[in-house]
Amino acid sequence: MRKMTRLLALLAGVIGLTIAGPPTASAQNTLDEIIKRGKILVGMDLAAPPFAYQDEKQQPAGSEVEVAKMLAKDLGVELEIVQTSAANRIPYLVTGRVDVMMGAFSIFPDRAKAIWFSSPYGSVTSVVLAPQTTNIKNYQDLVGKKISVSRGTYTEQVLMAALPQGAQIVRFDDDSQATAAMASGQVDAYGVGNVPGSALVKRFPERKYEIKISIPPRNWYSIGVRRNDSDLLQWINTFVFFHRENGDFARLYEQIIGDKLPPPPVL
Amino acid sequence: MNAHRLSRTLRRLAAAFALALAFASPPAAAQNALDTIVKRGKILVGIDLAVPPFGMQDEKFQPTGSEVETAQLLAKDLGVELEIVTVTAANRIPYLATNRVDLIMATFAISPERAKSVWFSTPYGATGSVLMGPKAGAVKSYADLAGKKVSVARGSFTEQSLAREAAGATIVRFDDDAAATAAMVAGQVEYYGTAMPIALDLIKRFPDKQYEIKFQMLTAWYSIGMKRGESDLLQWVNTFLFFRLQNGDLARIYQKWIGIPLPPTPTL
Repeated sequence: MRKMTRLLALLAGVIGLTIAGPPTASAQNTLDEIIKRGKILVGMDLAAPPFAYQDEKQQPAGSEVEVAKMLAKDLGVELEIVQTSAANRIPYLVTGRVDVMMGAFSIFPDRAKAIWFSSPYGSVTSVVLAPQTTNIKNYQDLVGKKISVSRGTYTEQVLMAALPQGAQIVRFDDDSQATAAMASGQVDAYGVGNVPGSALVKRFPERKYEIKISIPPRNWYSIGVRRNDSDLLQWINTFVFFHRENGDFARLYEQIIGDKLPPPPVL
Repeated sequence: MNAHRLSRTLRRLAAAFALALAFASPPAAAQNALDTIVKRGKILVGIDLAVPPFGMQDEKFQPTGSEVETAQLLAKDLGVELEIVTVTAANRIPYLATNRVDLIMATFAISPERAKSVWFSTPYGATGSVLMGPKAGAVKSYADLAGKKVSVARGSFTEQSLAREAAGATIVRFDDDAAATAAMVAGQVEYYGTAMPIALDLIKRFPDKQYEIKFQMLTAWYSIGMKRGESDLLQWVNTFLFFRLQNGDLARIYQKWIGIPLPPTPTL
């Protein structure tokens, strides 16, 4: 009889478990949660100007902050920006401390093992800058020219892979020295990211610099969501579609980043 | 506890267990709209029949228009019967939520606001605003409007984009589209910037004026709407649209009814 009682208790336990069910991915609906909460938690590394940074009043600013505001407005909820570092972006998202991850969050296959990416709406690449009068229209025009670059940067690697034979890379310890070398005429051109490059063109209008060529790859950034959050991903992709097609993202990019945004591809 | 009572208790427990299992079964499988449609042998498509030439009734009161023809193609590809449910702009989302329709095909413009309650497929057509004028007029873009008189309703998005893009044009503003239309018909202006359905209606009503759409101004992309979470149905609808966009059928339908080429469609 005692055995029977134990069996009954066990059965009851099984029933309890069955009803409660294991926690499943389908139970997660971040979109509904955000709307119910009336607030979206957006993670962002605020040490990446001009995409995301703190202004003189310690308020979040930059192109990504503007996109986050558009996103919250379209969802009809309040915006809370949660500051992250570059390193803890994915852990913050995966553990639910934020609903989505932004901050010029580049799409890479290794990151996609842990999170889902939306369609992209912005990008970064490397460029070659030179005075307007310098004749550079393609890689071949770089033959016989000297190009300055800051040592150890991503652009240095990209240049080494892309430059034709006969083009000379001149390395400097930092970007201000590499810039100065172009200003003094010690080199013909300067290789740098399109974002600081565009800022330089703007800062010294009297030097009449211009972006001559873009050097692939171009890294596209988008909004990260937790894996299997299909409802939220679908909403974000609709948001991205809408503002991509009506030109809002291109306008914002040109206004804040200072470079033209090529038409974003679709993920 | 005697043997009889025990066996009764066990039977009840077994029943409770079965019930619990039934409740715990994965809801996603039960809700697969694609399977439901195929099993039913019929798809319920919500179309607004008051927006010619996209959705309307012919002289025999039969549904017709670009959306109707697209829905017929969709049902054929799915191998099911088509039932058209008449919807309005106001009730189409509630109809979807209450399962009175499986899909919305009612020049349903993609917007983040609507995406809070429905899922949108990739787009297959555009509405929005257009510039209309005489067939003989050599206007193909905003730049060609320099020195020309253009009527427009005050306070519309169309007015804003004319003011921004059409430098050199004389913009004649009216209080509403009725007044702007009257100015056009009276020959007070040569060109008119307005919503696409209004332009299409005018072209049809005044055949002797030889009006046509000169170019698309603002574009609102429309697509097929379905309930949130129906990833299986979304995947099928997107595959249908991909196939029929690539083989040119949807461009042909658009050209036939709307009278202008389908602009290159972006992907959602």
